Parts: sequence; structure tokens; C-alpha cells
Amino acid sequence: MTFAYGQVRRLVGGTMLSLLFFWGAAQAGGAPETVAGLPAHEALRLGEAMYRKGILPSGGQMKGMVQGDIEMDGTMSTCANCHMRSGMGSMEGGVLTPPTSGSKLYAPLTRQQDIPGPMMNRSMFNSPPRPAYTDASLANALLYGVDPTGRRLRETMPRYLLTEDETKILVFYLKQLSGSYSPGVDAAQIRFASIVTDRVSAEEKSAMLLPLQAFLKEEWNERLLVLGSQWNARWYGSGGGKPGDAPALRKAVLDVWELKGPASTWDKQLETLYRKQPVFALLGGTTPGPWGPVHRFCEENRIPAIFPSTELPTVSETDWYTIYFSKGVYQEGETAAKYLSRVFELPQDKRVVQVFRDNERGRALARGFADTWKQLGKAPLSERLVPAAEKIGAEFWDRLSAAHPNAALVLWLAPEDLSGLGQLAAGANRPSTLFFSSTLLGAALGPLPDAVRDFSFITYPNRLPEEDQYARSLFTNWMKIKKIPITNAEISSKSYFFTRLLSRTLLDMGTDYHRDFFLDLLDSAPDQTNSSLQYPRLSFGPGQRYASKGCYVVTLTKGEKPKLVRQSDWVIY
Amino acid sequence: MKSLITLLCLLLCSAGAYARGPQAPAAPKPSQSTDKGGFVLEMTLNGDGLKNGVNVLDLSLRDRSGKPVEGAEITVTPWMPVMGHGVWEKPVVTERGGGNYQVGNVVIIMGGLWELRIGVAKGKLQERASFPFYVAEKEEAKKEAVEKPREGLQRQTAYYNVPNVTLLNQDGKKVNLRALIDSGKPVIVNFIFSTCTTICPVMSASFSNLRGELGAGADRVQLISISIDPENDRPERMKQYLSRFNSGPGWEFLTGSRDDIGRVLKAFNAFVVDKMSHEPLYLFRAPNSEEWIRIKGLVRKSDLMNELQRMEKK
Repeated sequence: MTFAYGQVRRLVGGTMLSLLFFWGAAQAGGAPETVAGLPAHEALRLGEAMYRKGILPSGGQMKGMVQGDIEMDGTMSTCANCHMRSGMGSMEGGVLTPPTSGSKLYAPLTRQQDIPGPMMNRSMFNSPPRPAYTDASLANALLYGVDPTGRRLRETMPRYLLTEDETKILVFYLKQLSGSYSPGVDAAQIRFASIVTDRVSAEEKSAMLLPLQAFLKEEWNERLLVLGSQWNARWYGSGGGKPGDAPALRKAVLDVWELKGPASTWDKQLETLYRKQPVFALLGGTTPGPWGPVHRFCEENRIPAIFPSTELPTVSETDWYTIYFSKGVYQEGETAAKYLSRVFELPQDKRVVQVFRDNERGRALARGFADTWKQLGKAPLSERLVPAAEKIGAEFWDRLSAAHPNAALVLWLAPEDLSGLGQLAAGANRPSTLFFSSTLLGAALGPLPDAVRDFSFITYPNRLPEEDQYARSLFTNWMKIKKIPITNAEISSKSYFFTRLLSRTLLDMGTDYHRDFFLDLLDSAPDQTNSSLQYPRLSFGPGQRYASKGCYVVTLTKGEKPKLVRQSDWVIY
Repeated sequence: MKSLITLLCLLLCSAGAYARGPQAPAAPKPSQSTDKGGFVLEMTLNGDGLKNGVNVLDLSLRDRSGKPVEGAEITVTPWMPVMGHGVWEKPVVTERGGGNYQVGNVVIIMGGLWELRIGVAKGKLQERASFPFYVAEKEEAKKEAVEKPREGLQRQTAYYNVPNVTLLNQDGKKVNLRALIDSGKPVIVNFIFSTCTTICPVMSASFSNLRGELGAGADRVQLISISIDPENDRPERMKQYLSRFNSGPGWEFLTGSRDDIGRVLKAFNAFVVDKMSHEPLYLFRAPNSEEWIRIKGLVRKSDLMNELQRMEKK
């Protein structure tokens, strides 16, 4: 799978250039050729490092003083930590952090309407008005904590120790921050896309798209005027806002991007589709294979992608633009490792053998287990990778248990690979413990022979069957109201879930149509415990990119209709 | 003894001597039988009787024959009979063994005649007693003014029943919270999470700066940060978070199951429905003290140093 980095670089470069162009146009006087002796693009890069990472152009840490006597440096916190990447500010712990984007700083701040974001943030603004900042007064605020009227800023805002050039670079960065709308937005519309591939069936495709389309049409587009006036009334009290003050919320348009052929060609296709019609963000989407190529495209082009339905997401601690439901099957591997180590407390010298097929799912499960096992400082694992051509049967199990007598076996295998498994229980080399994935076993979990159930554990990344009634009723009622038949509850309920988040996020975004703000708002969403059919709890936070943090470990009772018995908490540490 | 105090109190009240009433008589160990005669209660008050503010008292409970009674359920209600009201704050009763019970968080909100109404339930017996007290108007107002915190901070005394939970620290080690708090050092507790936007970095920087100020002896104070986002805050992540703040021995970042963390937050009156609406809180406790100081608001390093000195003097 190769990726056309050159093309992507051109794309990003294009964005940067148009950004500069916009900035220049907004200045009327034209962009300065240099900032602190540096070319403008270089100053922007350095300014971004200051704002997001707290790193000075010299490479050192930014330093500042908070609360009058507390020294803080760039490793502890950054501008973006409080003001967010978009510069739209935040509200947390009763402290309102006002916006620091250029458009907000270089305009007067007089009323609650001028604070972007959720109602709560606005309602916290009760300071006297301030006029627009200038470059000089902004420098004063950064260095001495004084606003353009001479009032002192809250002590929680650091007083920064910066040289004149460093100040100029940061001021230059702030001035353009969220300066123009992100791509995919015009005066009337905001455009989104959902991605499917030719490996997705027509039924799965409509299960994913119909709830999303119904939401955008009935709960957003057809209610824009109402939403706008509500927004007005909610924020400023009755009589506080004039009808004409309602924000011009944009109509949402959803494109469907269908990718064809091998995954190695997706980046080209994505680029073509994006060039033809840029979108603000990707919503949902699904494919049976790895999501990696789409993930990479979004990362390179800074396009938010929220909640694709995939078992094989890209697992990264640092990537920013894609928010997943979970780490998929990788998370099941992690869970098994944590359970065996910290809950089951497998003896340190116990031999552990992973058995998996050489396919995407098998490898992702095994990777999740092995990464975590290593992180926990456990003894090395044995791995048995089973090629596609090799058949698994009685003989396979005999040889495996003879080679690893009484070991703990982690069997990332599907039902068709479990024949002859039952005899493991009888042999002298009987394994001490077996581990399986419910995703691979399938919903029924039936294929596990009775004889091994006593010492078998299963990862179960969903709500337990008895836990889902309330969430199910919310979902089915909504689908009934929208007159959408439920053909694939797993896929449709995922779309339903994120329309709940989207509804709040689109409204809170107001008319500040910036991709970073969109993500900032999603990151500050409260924990969701009812609106997902699949997950008991989904939680968020800046940089948290896998909303489901848990996975149960269960066992099965014997008999033809086995019951699930929960063996662990949702989250295992 | 009881009737004497009551008489004296009534006299004082009727004389209209609220404001500058003479010092209430010290009531070192009032003792009385419950209404049906099943128990005898003896009360020990720290200092000079009941005072306007937060009080701690000890109760010793015996049966008719003088044997200590353990395992009784005791409720204490401060009541102002003349005004016909009680207080919002609920006293906290902790059994100490040998028929001894400690009652914390007895909050008296004004001067005048008060009763401490006590209910005792043990087995089938449910009995009551009432201890009257005359509470002087605040005379320590000046002293309090000196201790008054900076503007923007709320500082108050509080009593907490620390739950007996085992949490996980940044190294993945199990830590019993009660044992950690009772480790013999002054303790400062706060509540944070590793992806918090505004207030946690400032709170953690204040801990970091306090440690910097104390230098090599930084671990003479036990800092405890308790996660309010326990699902995301795993040991690996907490360790990385602490490393940003020059942490070291003496600073524990604790996480645990949502239930356990919920119990801890509720016990410290710090529970919030969602992590985004949490408040900046610092809780201070001197070694071997029952009393906590609770500060709401973002503190300075100097505030932490002052509290530490106060705790070390105790």
C-alpha cells in the first residue's frame, strides 16, 4: 500500500497558501513579507508550535507565570490547552477562557453573543466590554496580562516571558488563527461526506446512511430558522435578541463517496473526490477492512472524520483528526492481556501462546494483546500464526498442547477453526486457560464446546444482553419516528448515536465554521451512557480518539443455550 | 448539671444578653440518660463548649449497667428551639470502639440557645436525649478575619469519612486511600484528569511549584491527585502526565473503578455528574487530625505554603 505523499503535500500546501492569501486580503495593506525577519509561512509554523506545543522558536519551553507566583512551562500547559486548537476558547471548572482566534481578538468583545461555543460558555461572560485588540495591545496582554482598556486579565492567564521577536511570531499566528472558514463551507451550505467501499452491501450502506440523512434533513435543514431563533432566545433571554440577530446557520449537504478496488488506490480516489467537491468533515462511513488509508488521508489534509464504523481502525496515541468508537478488535486483545495479568493474575512464569490466522482481524487482535503484554512487563509470548492454507483440527490441538503443555492459550480464531477443540480438556497437557474474542466467535458464542467452557474466557466489547433495553428503546423509537426500517441494528445504531452528538455540536458551532472548533466541541462532549446501543459508556476529551474505553470479559455457562456471565468491570486497568 | 445550664441559658436569653453574653460556662462532660432510660450518654467537647462554627465532640455510650455499647446507630441534630430550626450541615458520626463515637461536622450557625438532639438505636431500642448549650456570639471574628483567604477563594473547615477503597497509582500499584492519607504526613488532595483543559494544568503546576519550593524535602508533604476521568486515566497515561509536572516521590495520581472513584468523590463532597463541570478544589489535612481545610478556587503557591506551615504547626 503506497501513499502519494507528494500529492498530499501539494494539497496541504494549497490550503496554507490560500490561508495566507486570505490573511493578506483581510489586512487590506497586504501580508507583511517577513515577521521578525522570517518568511510568513515559517513564522506561522513557529507560531503554531508556540500555541499548540508551548515550544519557542529557539526550541526551548515557553515560560509564564500564573496565579501571581506559579511558574508554568510549555510541557505543563499550552495556549491550546485552554483556548483550544481553534482558539474559540473553553469553559471548564467555572473558568471561562475567552476566544483567541484572530477574528475574535481583533474585534470588540461587548456582549455574550461575541463568545463562541455552547450556551454555558456565553453565559459565563459578564466582563465589561473591551475594544478590538491591536498588535501592540495583544503583546501587552501576553506579556503583562493587561487588556486594551488597561484592566488586568485573570491570574489564570499566564504572563509570558517572551522576547520581542517571539511575541511578534505568536501575535502573527493568533491573528490568522481560525481566520477564514474551513473548506466545505460557503454562504449557504456546509458540506459533509460519508465513505463506503465496494465491499459494503447495499443493505449495510442504507443502514448507515438513512439515519444520518434523516437527521440532517428533518432535524437540521428543515428546522434551520427555528434553531436560529432558538439560539437567539436561549442565549439572550426573551426580548434580548432581535429576530434579525439570528445566526445564518448553514444548510447541511451530505455526499456519499464510494471507494472502489484495492485499498492501495483509495488515496488517489479520495484526493480526486476531495478536489472536485471539498467537504468540511467526514461523517460515519464503513468498510469491512482496515480504515487506515482514509485515516491517513484525513490526517494529512486535516479533515475531521467522526465515528466511522470499523473493527480495524488505526491505533495511534497522537493522531488528531479521526474519532473512533473504539480501537476495534485491537482493544479486545488489550483487554485479554490486562485481564490475564492484572485480574486473573497469571503467574509470572506461565507460558502464554497466541494463536491467530494471518488476516487483518487476527493480526490486529494479536497486536493488541502483544503490545499490552509487553507494556505490562510480562515474560515474552509465544505466537503461532496459522497460514490460510493450514487446516485446524484435532491434530493441530494435539501438537499445540504437546509443544506448550498446560499453557494459557489465547485463541483468536473463528468458529470454523474450533473443530476438535473439545478434546483439549481431556489430555494430560490440558491448557490452564483459554481466551477468545466474541467478535470472532460471532454473536451466538455457541461454537465453544462444553468441555472447555470451564476454563475459557471471552472478550465482549458490547453492552451485555440484559443491559441494553433502555438504549434499544431510544434507538428503535427514533427509527420508528423517522420511518426507517431496522435492517442492520449494529450499523444504524452507530449512525443514530452520532446524530445525537452532531445535533448539539452543529448548534454549538453557531456560524464559527472551523474544523478545529468542530473537533474541540466534540472533545468537550459529556459522557454518553444511553444513546449508544453497543457501548455502555462513550467518553470524550481533547485528544481522546477512542470513545469506548472498555470491554467486558465473560464466561459461558454449559448447555445448548449458554448464558453470559460477566467476569470483569467494563474497564480493566 | 443539665438543669443548671438550662436555667442559666434561659436567664441569659431573657435578659437579652445575646450579643455580649458572658462566656458560656464550660461544659466539660455533660452526661444524661436517654428518655426511656436504656442508655447513658456522656459528651466530651473539645475546648470551651459548643462554639459558633464547626465542632467536633465525643460521645461515650453505656447501657443501664454501665457497660459500653458498641454498634449503635447514633444521629445528632443541632437544633435551635427558640427559633425552631436546625442547620443544613449533617453531623458525621464515626464509631471508635469501646462504646466511643466521634461526631464531626457539628455546625452551629449563630449564637444563642441550642440543643444537640441525639438519637440512639441499637437492636429494638430507639431512644433519645437532648443536650442544651448556650453558644456565644462569634468572638473570634477578628482572628477569623486574619485567616480569611484571598479574594476569589472559599476556605472552610470540613470533616470527611475517607472511604476504605483501594485505587491504582501511576505505576499501576494498588494504594489504599485511607492508609495513604494516614501516612503521617500533611496531605493535600485535589481532583483532576489528564485531558482537562483549563483548571487542572494550573492545579498541577501549583503542586509542581510547591515541590520546587520545598526542594529536596518535597516528599514531606503527601500530594494526592484523584482522577475524575478514571476510564481514560490509566496508569501509563497518568505517569506521563505527572512527568510533565516534575513529579516524584510524594505525589500520587490515583485512578480506579468508576464506582470506587464515585465513592471517593462523594465522601469528599466533590462529586460532579460530568467531568467537564468539576471545580478547582484543594483539601488539606494535618497528620493525625480529623479536621480538613477545604479551599475552592485556584490557589497561589504562597497559599499552599501557608497551609502547609499551618498543618506542620499542628
